[in-house]
Parts: sequence; structure tokens; C-alpha cells
Amino acid sequence: MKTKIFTFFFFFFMICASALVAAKGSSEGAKAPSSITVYAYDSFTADWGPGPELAKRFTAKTGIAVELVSCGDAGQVLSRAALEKKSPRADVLVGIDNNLIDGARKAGVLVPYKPAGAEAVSPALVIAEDWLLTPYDWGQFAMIFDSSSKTAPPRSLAELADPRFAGKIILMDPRTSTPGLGFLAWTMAAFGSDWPSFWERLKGNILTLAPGWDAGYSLFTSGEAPLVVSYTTSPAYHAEFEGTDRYQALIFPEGHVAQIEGLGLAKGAPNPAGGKAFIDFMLTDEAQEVLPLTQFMYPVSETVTLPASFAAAPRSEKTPSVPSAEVAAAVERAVGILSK
Amino acid sequence: MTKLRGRIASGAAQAGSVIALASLAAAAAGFVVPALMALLGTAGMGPQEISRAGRIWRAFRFTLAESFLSSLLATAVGLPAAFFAARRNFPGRRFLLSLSAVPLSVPPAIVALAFVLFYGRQGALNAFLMGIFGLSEPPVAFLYTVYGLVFAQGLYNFPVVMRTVSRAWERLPVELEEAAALLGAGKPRIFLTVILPGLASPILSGAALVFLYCFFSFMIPLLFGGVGVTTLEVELYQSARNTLDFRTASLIAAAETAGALAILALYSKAQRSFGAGIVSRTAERKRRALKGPWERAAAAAFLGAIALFFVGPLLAVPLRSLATSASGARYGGALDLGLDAWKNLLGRSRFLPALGATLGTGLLSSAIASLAAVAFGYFAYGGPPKSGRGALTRLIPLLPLAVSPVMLGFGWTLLFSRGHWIFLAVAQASLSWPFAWATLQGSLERIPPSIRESSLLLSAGSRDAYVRVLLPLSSRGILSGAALAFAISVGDATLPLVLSVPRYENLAMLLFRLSGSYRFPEACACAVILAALAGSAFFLQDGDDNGH
Repeated sequence: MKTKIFTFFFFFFMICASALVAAKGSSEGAKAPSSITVYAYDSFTADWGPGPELAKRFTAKTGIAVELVSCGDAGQVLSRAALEKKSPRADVLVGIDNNLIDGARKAGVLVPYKPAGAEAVSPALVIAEDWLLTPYDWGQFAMIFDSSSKTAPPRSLAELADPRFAGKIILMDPRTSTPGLGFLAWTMAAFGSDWPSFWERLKGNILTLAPGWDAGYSLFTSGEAPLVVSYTTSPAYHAEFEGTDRYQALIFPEGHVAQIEGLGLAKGAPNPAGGKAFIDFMLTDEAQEVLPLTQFMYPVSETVTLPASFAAAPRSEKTPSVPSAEVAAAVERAVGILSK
Repeated sequence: MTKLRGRIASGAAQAGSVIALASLAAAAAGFVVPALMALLGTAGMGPQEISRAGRIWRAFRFTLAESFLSSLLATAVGLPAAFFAARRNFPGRRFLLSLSAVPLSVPPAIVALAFVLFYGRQGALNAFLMGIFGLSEPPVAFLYTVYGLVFAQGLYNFPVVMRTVSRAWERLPVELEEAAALLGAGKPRIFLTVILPGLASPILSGAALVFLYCFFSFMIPLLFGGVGVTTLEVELYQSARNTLDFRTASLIAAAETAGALAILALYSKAQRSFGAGIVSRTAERKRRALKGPWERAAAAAFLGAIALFFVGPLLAVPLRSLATSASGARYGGALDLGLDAWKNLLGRSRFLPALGATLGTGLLSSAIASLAAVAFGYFAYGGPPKSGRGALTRLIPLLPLAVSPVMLGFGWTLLFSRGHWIFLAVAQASLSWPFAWATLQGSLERIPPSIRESSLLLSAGSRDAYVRVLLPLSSRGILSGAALAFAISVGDATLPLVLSVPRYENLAMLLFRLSGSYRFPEACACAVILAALAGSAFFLQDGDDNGH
């Protein structure tokens, strides 16, 4: 038994030692002079996300290597940059959307940069007049309806509060999820100062507030409820990968609030020239054409041809908006109404 | 020759104790430094006023209540499970024990999905009941209420209690029970007056672990707790993420930690008043086969219920991994079966590196955690028995579990902007060594004082006695703890993301990415691999039943 314990110690000593040697070896690989560091959310950097392909194309074009760092979700991209403010590591922050821009501005982690090709971006998609963020893709929030359900679909946002939808709606928590916050913004845009009374009537119809889009959407496709908040482009995903039109995006007369995702140059970026080149690159069609089938969002470029599956995605011409600071301030109240 | 062997042995012991101490130091630093960094480094970074005091107080009470009830349920299910695992032989005993891998290595998102597929409105249970009784509405509708939350969390964590208790039950002295029976006590009375007090300490340890797990959990309370529910961890996340209000976040974190510590102090007090006094001989009791119709019926009912209500939902995970993309179009939960997801996953160029990263980090982290536990054991048990270090040795190991993972993550971010997988292993060990310690402590506790005293008397020193006598007697506890730490590392996707080790991806991160991008069949396949890795670590070491 004694020898067993010594073997145990010896074995683990060897592991620790070899690990240290490995650590030393790999830390010698210093950062190449011509490279940039990009902070992004996880589904952007995943190998089926747009990140790896964009990085490949950018490096082929400019010779600048890209290090993609996943920080979790978009909120974590921002909080990480805020924590590192004194000695920034990132050159570019990706995924800060029109709902997070107010926080990003207050945190002071970005500097404005108007990229080449900025003129081609539709004015409706410009998130910041000073180009603190450059939009790269966008989508509209929508209710997705399971057409196999026995319930008739709602015809308007207001009708979601109808008692016939009791327990039939899956939303996401506005505190932890982008579509959750988007839904709140949508109701504020549609009902103005009356939105709290809508939420009071809506409360009984919500099956659950999921912590994130993925959990909520998987509940929906498991048949737990016939309605979920997502994007008008979600049916394009089902058409592309599952070949079904079972799940439909409902277009409501109140219009649909948009999520516009942007990227920006980090304040104090180690390689600002490289960062600017990457932001320029994101507006070229070479980069934009990667986005539809990896993000299931619309590219900001109007000259990119959309894939056939996007025919399943309806689009509303009416895109109202609410200032992000107002939405952020309303989160407290919305959660307060629901927890009463 | 013997002299040389003796020298090598003492040299190895010397080196071993240095490494063990270094591991403990690393594990402690891995927790204390980032925790301090998080509390100090983020202070004054946001608005000063706390506008949400009322809601935070409500969140605190709710978190406390749901975690307590969940740990109660986990104990209620874990206790009989521990009895059967410790005292009876039956087919599937080792499988029952290896279920401990589930709460540690299967991520909450996957467990939540499994519960939805089984207990949900369109889940297997409701479909079955509606079919049998011809109902039009699903009869089981508690999942999205606070009952659903407690049910899911309590059931999901019962193996933690089962594991901490069953080892102790195996060695509970049979003489006391026999004496009680001789004096005329019936079985219920023996259980209440002899067995339960003897097991109080491990029961409370297990319950405390479950309590802490629930206290800091995030996903399951939001999904199942009812609309508008709020927990401290959600409030903390919101402050840090949405409003970048790190000051409020650190205040919430401090309140959270204080609350968790207060509860732990109560547990520790209860443990002290129960725990002392009952020590067994070292020999393990023989497990016997089930006998008598009542015992058989009880075992069949209990184990059947576990199989149906715990294993049943989990079976949804491998089943989902066999669903093809065409299943999206199918109605009523029907699946088109195929191996697409497995082919995709195994064919990914990142799969093998991720498997390697998982194994490498898991082994190193489990080694550090085990060595840290061994070193800590020397402080706690190295000297003469009952030297009054009780309260500290009970509380210190629980400290890492009493700090919000979100907050600890900020601390790590402040410390390292570029991690390395070795830091990752240390960081994981700093959070998992309490588990390794819990099982080692269980083994050390069961060494009779007479053996400890005589080993001290007959050895060159207390370290010698610890290394040559106490540790060998506790080898199974060490191995069991190593398996726990391995399982925790294997299932961890949070720290790798927080530390953002360049070009590093393990299977847990891959799983997180797959489920986050709506690739559920592949995510489920990945979860099956993770659970199998962690489960086989338990299965292997539980199998070593004669080695002591």
C-alpha cells in the first residue's frame, strides 16, 4: 500500500513537471507583429460561426493574422473590455448591439471610427452617428409560431395578452438575454407609456422566462408552447437545415423592433491600424456574404445575394425603435411586474 | 539494500510532501487571490446608489428557501440510495454509484432539456398519461413552478448526498446496532438512535454541498422557478453585465458569500454536535444480498423509482443525440433516428484536440486537487486526535464554494488576461479540492483513534505517521476524491471561457457552443461522451472494493 501511495505521488509529480515544461514551451510563441485580437461572443467564434471564415479571408487579403477570443455572450465582451480598461488586450470588440451601445459608451471602452464603405450602409442601420460602432448585420425580433399547434396564431402584438394564450408563450429574461431585452423594447415601441399595463395582462400567458435564447427556443421546438420570441429569420434556419416550414414568423401591424449588431475599435487598442482594417473589411461583400448562413441575420450590405432559404423569412417594413438607455431603465420595472 | 530503499522512500516522502503543500498553496491561491481581486478591483467602478435593495432582499430569501428545500429533497432521495449502495448487493449497484457523475459533469442546460423532454407539457410522462387516461390536457404541470424547480434541483443532486453518505454507512460499526437490537430496540428505533446520529456528519456535508450548488445556480431557477423569479446570482449577473455596475455586483457578491457562510456555520455547528463519538473498527462490513419479501419490494420500488424518474429523463439525452435534422418537421415528439449528430461531432477537426484537452486538464486538475486535499488532511488529522482544529477544518474547505462563480470569474479576468491551460487546471482545482477533501476526510474519520495514536507513537514523526499509516488506510478516499475532481473538471465550461486560454477548447466548451447555437443532437452526443468519461472514473474506482 505504501508503494501505491508513492507511485501516486511520483505519477502526479511527473504530470505536473511535464505540464510545466509544456507551459514554458508554449508561452514562448510570442504574438506576431502583424496580428489583431478580436473579442466576440461565443457563437461568432465557434467553428460553424462566421468568425473563423472571416478571419481566414481577412488574413488572405491583408496578411494580418486574427486571434479570435470568445468571451461568452455579447454582454461579457463588454464587461471583459471594461475590466481590462487599464491595459487593453483587444483591438476590436464584436457583437455590441443597439441595446448595449449605451452601456458601451458609458464604459468608455471604444473609440469612434468611420470605416471605408460607411456611406453604403443604410441610414436606418447606423447605430451611432459618431460611428462608435459599425453595424455588420441585423434582424427583426418576432414571435415564432408552431403551426402544428391547435391554437390559432395571434394577429398582433397586443393580442398576445389575450387570455386564450395562457401559458402558451415562451419569453427570455430581459436581464440575461438579448431577445428578452428586445421583446421589452418591442413592447415599449408598440405601446409607448402603456407598456407596463400590457405586461401585467401578459404575465399569465408566459410559460417561462428562459435564461437565454437557446434554452427558450429548445423548449419551443420540444413542443412546450406554440409561441416564442426570436427573429423573423428563424424560419430560414429551419428551411435551410431541416427542410420544414412548420415554424413561422408572425408579422404584426405594430411593426418589429430591430437588433443591429456592431463592432468597434477598442480604446487603447495595441494595433489600431489592424483593427481599423478589420472594421473596413467587415463592410465588404466578401465578409458580408459569410453572415446570412452563419448568423441567420441580414447583412448590412444590400448587394449581397441572400440564400434561397431566406425566402421563408418575412420582413416588416415598419421598424420602430426605442433609445437603449430607456430600455435598460425599464428592465427593473418589467421584472418587477412579473415577480409581483 | 533495505537502507537504500528506505532512503528512496523518505526522499520520495519529502518530495511528495513538498508537492502536496505546493498543490494546497496553489489551490488556495487560485481561490483567494481572484476573490480578493474581484472584491477590491471592481470597487468604485459603477454608480454608488443601490436602488434594488428591496428586490435583492427578496431574491436572497427566495434563493435561501429554494436551495434549502432542494437540499432537503436531495437528502431524502440520497439517504435510501446510500443505504442500498452501502449495505446491500444487487445488480446495478455500481451503476447507481456512478450516477454521481451526472450532477458534476452534465451541464445544467442539458439536464434542463432532459427534464423538459420527460416532465414537460409534451414530455414522455404526460404523453403516456394522456394516452392511458384519454386526457386532452397534460396532467403533470408542475415543472414551471417553484415545485418544479425544487423537484428538478433536488432530484438532480441526490447522487452527491448518496456518495458522501454511502462510504460512511459502509463502515458504521455493526456492534452498536447489534447491541441496540440485543437491548430490545426495534429497527425504526435503531435507525433513529444509532444509525442516523452516526451518519449525521456525512449527511450534513452532502446536504451542504447540494445547498451551495443550488444557491449559486442560475440556469435551472430561471427556467423552472416560475415567471419573474429572481435569485442573487441573476441579480449579480445583471449588475455586472447589463449595467457594468461592478460596485453593486461586488456588494451583492459579498452579501451572497456572507449568507452562504452563515448557513455553512449552522451546518458546521450541527455537524459538531452530532458527529463526534462514533468510530468504527477499520474492517468494512460485508454487503449482503437483499432478503425477505418486504426488503425486496422496498428495493424494487425505490430503485425502480430512481430508474424511472432520474435515469428516465437522462435517457432523453442519448436519444436526442440520435435525432436527425429531419426531426424538426415531425410532430408530437417523434424523432427520425440516425447517427448524423455523432458523425458530425466525431468528424469535427476540433473534436480530438478537445478530448485531449479535457483529459489533460482533468488529470492535472484532479492531481492538484487530490494533493491539496492530502496536504490539508495533514493539518486536520496529522497530529494527535481531537486537537481542537475542528471548526476551521470543516469551514475552510467550504469557502471556495461560498463565493459566486460569476464573481470569481471577474477576479480571474483581472488576474490573467491570457490564461494558460495550467492556470486553468489550478483554477479548477481551487474549486474542486473541497470535494476531494470531503471523501478523504470521510476515510480519515473512520480510522479509529487507537490506530492514530499508536501510529504516532511508533513513527518517526507525525508526518511519517500520516504518510505511512493514515494515508494508506485512506487510499480509497483519495481515489474517490480524485474521481470527483476529475468529473468536475471534465464538466466545466465556465472557467475555460473566463480564463480565455488561447486556442484552447475542451469538450465542455464544445458542448456549450453546440447547445448555444441550436445544435442539440450534437450537444447531446457531446454530453453523453462527457458523462461517460466522468462516469467511468467513478465506475473504475468504485469497483476496487477489496483494496484496503
